[in-house]
Formats: sequence, C-alpha cells, structure tokens
Amino acid sequence: MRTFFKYLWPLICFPASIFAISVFYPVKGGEMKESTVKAMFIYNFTKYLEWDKESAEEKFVIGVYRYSDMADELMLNCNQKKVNDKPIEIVTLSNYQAISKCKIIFVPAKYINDFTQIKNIAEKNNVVVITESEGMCKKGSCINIIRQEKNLRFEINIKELTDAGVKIYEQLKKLATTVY
Amino acid sequence: MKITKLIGVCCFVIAFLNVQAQTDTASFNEMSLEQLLNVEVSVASSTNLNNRETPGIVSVITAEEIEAMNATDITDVLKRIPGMELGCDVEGVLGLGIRGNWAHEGKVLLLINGIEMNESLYATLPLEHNYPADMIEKIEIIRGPGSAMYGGAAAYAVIDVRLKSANKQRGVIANSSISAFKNALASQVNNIYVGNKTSNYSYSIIANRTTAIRGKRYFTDVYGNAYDMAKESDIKNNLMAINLNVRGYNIDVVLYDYNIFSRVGYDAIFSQAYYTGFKAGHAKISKKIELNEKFSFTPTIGYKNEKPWNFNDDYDTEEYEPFDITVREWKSGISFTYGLSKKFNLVFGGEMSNEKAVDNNGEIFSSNNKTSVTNNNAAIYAQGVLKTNLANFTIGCRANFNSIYENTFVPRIGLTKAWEKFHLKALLSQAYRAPSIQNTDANTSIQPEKSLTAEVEIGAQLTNNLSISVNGFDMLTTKTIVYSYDDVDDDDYYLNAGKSGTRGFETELKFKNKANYFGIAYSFYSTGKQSTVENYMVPQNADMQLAFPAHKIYGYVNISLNSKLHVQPQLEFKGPRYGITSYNEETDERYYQKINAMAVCNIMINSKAMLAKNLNIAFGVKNIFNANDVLIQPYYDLHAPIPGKSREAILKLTYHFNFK
Repeated sequence: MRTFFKYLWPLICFPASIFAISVFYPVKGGEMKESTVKAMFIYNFTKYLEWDKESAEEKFVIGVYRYSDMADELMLNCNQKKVNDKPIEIVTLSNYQAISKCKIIFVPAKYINDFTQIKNIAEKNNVVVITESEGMCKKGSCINIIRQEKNLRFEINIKELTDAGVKIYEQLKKLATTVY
Repeated sequence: MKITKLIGVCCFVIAFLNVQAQTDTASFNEMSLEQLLNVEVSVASSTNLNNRETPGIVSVITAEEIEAMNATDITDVLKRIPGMELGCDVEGVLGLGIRGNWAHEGKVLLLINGIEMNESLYATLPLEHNYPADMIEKIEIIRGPGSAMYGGAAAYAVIDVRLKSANKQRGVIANSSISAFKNALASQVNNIYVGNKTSNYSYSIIANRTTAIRGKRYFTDVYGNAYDMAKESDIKNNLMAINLNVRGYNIDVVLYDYNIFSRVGYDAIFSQAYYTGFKAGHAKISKKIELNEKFSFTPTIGYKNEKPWNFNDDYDTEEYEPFDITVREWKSGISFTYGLSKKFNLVFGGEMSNEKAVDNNGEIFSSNNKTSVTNNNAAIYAQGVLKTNLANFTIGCRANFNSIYENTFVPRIGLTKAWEKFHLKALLSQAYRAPSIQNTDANTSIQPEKSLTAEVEIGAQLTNNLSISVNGFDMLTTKTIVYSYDDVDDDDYYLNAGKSGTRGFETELKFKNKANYFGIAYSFYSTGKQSTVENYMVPQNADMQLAFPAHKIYGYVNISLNSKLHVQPQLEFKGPRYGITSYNEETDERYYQKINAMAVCNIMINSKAMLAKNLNIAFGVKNIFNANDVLIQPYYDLHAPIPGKSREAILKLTYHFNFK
C-alpha cells in the first residue's frame, strides 16, 4: 500500500497544476448563467410589446408554469422593476386557471408537453407565451428563446402575438433571428 | 483568529466590495436586448434529470418552506424528512438516525456549499444549533446510499445544504430570533447575510452567533442521579461561511466554533458541566473549465483544520479527561463531465486526501505509539446516465484505496422513468462506511463496513395540486462498525460487529395551490430480525432498534390568511421507542424502558411586510401541549435519554433589503 501511495501521491499535484494553468487559460469575462440571461430577455421583451387590453390588475404579472429556477431568476432580477409604471409580480403557476391573470407566461422546457393547453388559454386572455424549446415558434409559441453556440437568441411568431392581442415594435422584429 | 475579529475584517471587505459591485450589477440589470444577445452563457448539463427522474430517493426543502416552518436550526428542518430522527451520542451530542439506523458516526454526509462537514476523528456529525436554518437557501437530501458518488461518509444518506448566496439574494438580511421556555431563556440566534453579484464576480458572507440551553427539565442518569438542565446545558455556536466567485474560481470557506456544555459524558453525571468543543476551518477552491459544449472538468483543492470533541483541562479536574487533537486535511480532486449527447452523460473523476492528527497534549496513539497519525486515501469514481424512451438507466461505481484499511469497491445501478402523471424508480446500491482516524487507531484491523440497499419508489401527480410518493427500502449492512467504551483501559473501542439493517417504507402526500399548502409524511421500519449487532437491539422487541420509533408521522398545513399573514400548524408523531434508562453496576444489567408514543404540536405565524416593507415577523409556540419528548442513545452504552424541550415560545425578526 505504501508503494501505491508513493506512486499516486504526485497525482495530488495534478489539480494544483490545472489551477496554475487555468490562470493563463483565457477567461471569457461576462459568462452568465443561462436562466439569468433568459430572465433579463423576458423583462426586455416588455419594452417592445404593447398589450391591447388595459389590465385591471395593479401589477404586471409574469407567470412561470410550474416550478423552475426561472421563477427565482425573474424574482431576483425583475422583482423591483416596472412595466408601464406597474410593479412586476412574478408568480409560479401550479395549474392552468391562473394563466389568465398573467401578461406573460413562461413555459420551461421540462413542461413543454402542456404547451397546447397553456396556449389555448393564453390566446383568449391576451397573454404572451414564451418558451425555450427548439421549434416552438413554429408550433405556436409567441416568442421562443433558443441557444446558439454560447449566446442566446430568440424567434418570434407575429401571427401568434397578434392573435393574443399584442402589438410588436419593429425593433424587436429586427433583433429576432427568425420571424414567423 | 477569533471568529468575531474575522467578522469585523469581513465587514470592511464587504463595504469595499459593495462599492465595486454597485456599478457592475447595475450595468447588467440595465442591459438592452441588443447587449444581452452578446452575453455568453455557461453550458448546462445536457442530461439533467428532474427530481422525479433522478436516481435517488430525494427530498428538497426550500428557503420559503424553512421560513414558513419558523425553524431555528437544521434539526427543525430534518424532523420533517421521512425516516430521519435525532438520537443522543456521548457527551450530550445529538446526531442523526436514518430509517431506524444510527447514522451519526460516519454514515450520513453533510455538505455545506459542497464542503464536507463530518469531523475526521470519528466522522460524526453533531447537530442542534450549529447550522442556522434562516441562512439556508435549499437542502437536498438523498434518503439512501450515496457512496458511489460521495464516498465513505455517505453510506445511509447525503444532506446537501446550499446557504444563501448572491445567485438568489443580492443585498443584506439581518435576522434575529429569541425563544423562551417558561421562566427560562431558551435561545438567541443572530444571523447576518451580505451578498452581491456582478458579471465578473459574486460574493456572499454569512455570520451566525447562537446561544441556547438544551431544556429546562431534569436529566436523570442511569444511576438515578439528576440535575437541572436549565442551569447547565448551554450550547454556544459561532459560524461564518464565505463564498467568493471570481473569474470562474469558486472559493468557499466555512468556520465554526461550536460548544456543548453538559454534566454528562458517558454515564454518571459529573459534579459540574464541562464543554465539548468542535472548532473547524474549512476552505475549498474549485474551477469549472469547459473545453467545449460536451466536455468540462473541475479541479478542486480543499483544506481543513479542526479540533473535534475538544476539551482541555481548564477546570483542573480529574473527572473529565482532556481531549485535544488537531486534524489537518488536504484534499484534492478532479471531476470530468462528458455529455456525449442529450441521451448520455458521463461523470468521472478521482480524489486524494492526506489527514494528519496530532495530539496536542502529547498523548500517544495506540496504533503507532506516536503523538500523531497519518491517513492517506485515494478514490476513483464514475457514473453514467443513459436516457432512452424506455427508461433512464444509471450505472456508477467507486473504488477506494487507503493506507490503513482495506480497499473497497462499491457499484450502483438505477432505473427511473417519468410519465406525465406517474414516476417509477428502482435502485440497487452498495455503499461503504470508511473507518475514521479513531476507528483505525482503536482497532488497526478494522475494515470498512458495507451496505447493500434496494429501493423502489412510485409517485403520482394526482391532480395539478396534489402529489403522492411511496418508497420501499431494504438496507443490509455487514461488518457493522460499532462503538464501545472499554472500562478496563478507559478508552474508546471499535469493532466490526456483524449484520445490521432495516427494511420498511416511506410515503409523502403534498398539496399546493397558489395560497395554501400542506404535507404529510409517514415512515415505517422494521429490522426484519436480520440484525446480529447486540449494540442496537431491543430485547423486548426484535423488530425495532434502540432509540428510533418504527412509526413516525410529520404533518403541516400552511394557511394564508391574506397575502401577508400565514399560519402553519405542525404535528410530529412518534410511535413507541426503547432506550436504556438505568443500569445496575453490581449485576451489570441494563434496563431497557419502553417510551410511549407521543406527539409534539407546534404552531407558527408568519407575517411578511405587515409593519414595514422589508420586515418579516414570525411568532410561534413549539410543543404546545408540553409533551415529554426524549433523545435516546441508539446503542447500548450508558448515556441516559436527554429530556426534550418543553413548551417554547419563539419570536423572529428578519429585515432584508436588496442592492439596487
């Protein structure tokens, strides 16, 4: 056993060497958690959208369908912000009923199987559906955030946004990678 | 350095860092959509499994739930977990039992921000008032073996605690609670958190100071002598946790100075209370390096300096033996993650450690007749997860090599599947308990104990609001390492005693809608008469083990009276238990007493921002009906049961504000 450790001990230096090398490894400053940046995307979308119906709610409600870390990120990054002078409220929805109270509903990838029911309710209630799964804009999502290499991009579906009673500013169309 | 001085130094650091942080945070939060499109994001694991699919029986408790339950320390939270129960070790130290098995000594792993908290001399995990609940962001508990990934202290369970951090909270939280028994102050807990995050770095600093007494009842030893615990059962704790992330380097530091004052060591009460101290400093640095979207690796280096079970003879007495050993440990490791595709993910790596224990009083270790001992350990591990349409398959293993005890290999396999409304898990895991420094010193031929655990879980999402899960388990441990006290040599003694283990089931029903929620958990175990270890046996009942109830129920209902006021009644029911309550020295006979079933009821009231925008006030009464709970020693030594806490009123104030 002593021999074993005699030969293996140099290995303890291996992680130390990696650290030493990593000092010179080019660190790309500004690399953020994906969900943090998505939360900021969602907040920024509100600057380019205009809801037809004036809501009676005192708050601008952004819903996250079922639990995901996106709710935490939105809470952390957007809770103190305002949209049209209304304070943002972040809610986690455990069922379909509360969707109608939201202005935006985010559907995490892991719950995408429930998308059709969510979309049907959202469309009738002037709610923008945002997803994060490949190909969802084609399938009826208003805005779909996708990853390309190390950056996030988004695609928009004008017909779905119009059907939901939401106006889109031209600038948003220009920033989107694909417009359906 | 004294922890209080360290807190002072940190305040200056916080002030400095915060000035820097204000600018950077503001810039990120105010980025336009065009700017956000240029921000690079870190790679997420491509085969992340959610809790319904993860290959383990898992409980998760969030900060919101901890706040609503008005918990004081981590033991209040762990009571809610099916199959978990507190027991009493020597010197009044409390530890955990898992599924009816004593796990305190080397079989349950506690991680705080990824740092292993089990002390190195005996691998124990002292609980009660040393980890403040209000500073916890999330606890993930694997209620089952975790050795294949987590090593030799995770044979029965893993408790992974994430403290509040700048990822969730950018600002300051000041939290203070006071509680009282009738005519006696029970506890004072003060916590402060400061954290902030920018695009280049983040930091969080937590400081805690706790003073408490264990109760105000009378403790009666096995010889019938008693003393008033209100005067001599203090617990004092200072804890500081720092997390710093700079340019991808993640640095965690945890420091604590935890002292329990007790008039009982092993059996008879002493003439006065003595302290048992646990002092430790842990530091860990790691950095995740992503070579591409599929392959990343994380080197880690950790250092620990601790004095566990410490008592120095400040009292000039002969009735309590001084014990002053310092353990220094260097640990390094490297972990690789390879996501071949969205269907397959492989984690593998290795770690090495060097522990050195030095007796500061110049006493010699019996294993080598020197005043210090060294233990070297190395391990390699791997785990692959394959997602298919049929099910998710997990296969993993760990090989451990040690300079003192024999090499060990533990494999595990798992199958999980989640449908829309249901999920199924079937797991078979081998695990090991690594003998600690004092185990190998007391018995140089001691071997790692091994456990084989089979688990099956079925869960169902009954409605959008209601879910249920049921899991069955069968745990069999061979070469069980047991502790004993050698009266002749007046020293600790350890041996591989034989087979032990339990089988049983646990079930949880949970409901949650927007405003209200409730949960109820029931757990059951039986030895199945498979145990041959006398230390844990109950002579009157072969189906049970000492200290732990076969039946346990924990239920709570959180009712929102309005958006700012919540009430949470809680109920903890324990079935009958057995403990050694008296001892006849002449005949060497122990008396095993049946402790009747009992229930503890609590009520907690939480108000959020009622009096002031950023101020939360919580009030509650624990043990409303003043039930006589006890904390029992789960093996056949002679520490009589410690009386539980009587009715206790608690008031907690939490003030928080976020940095702009």
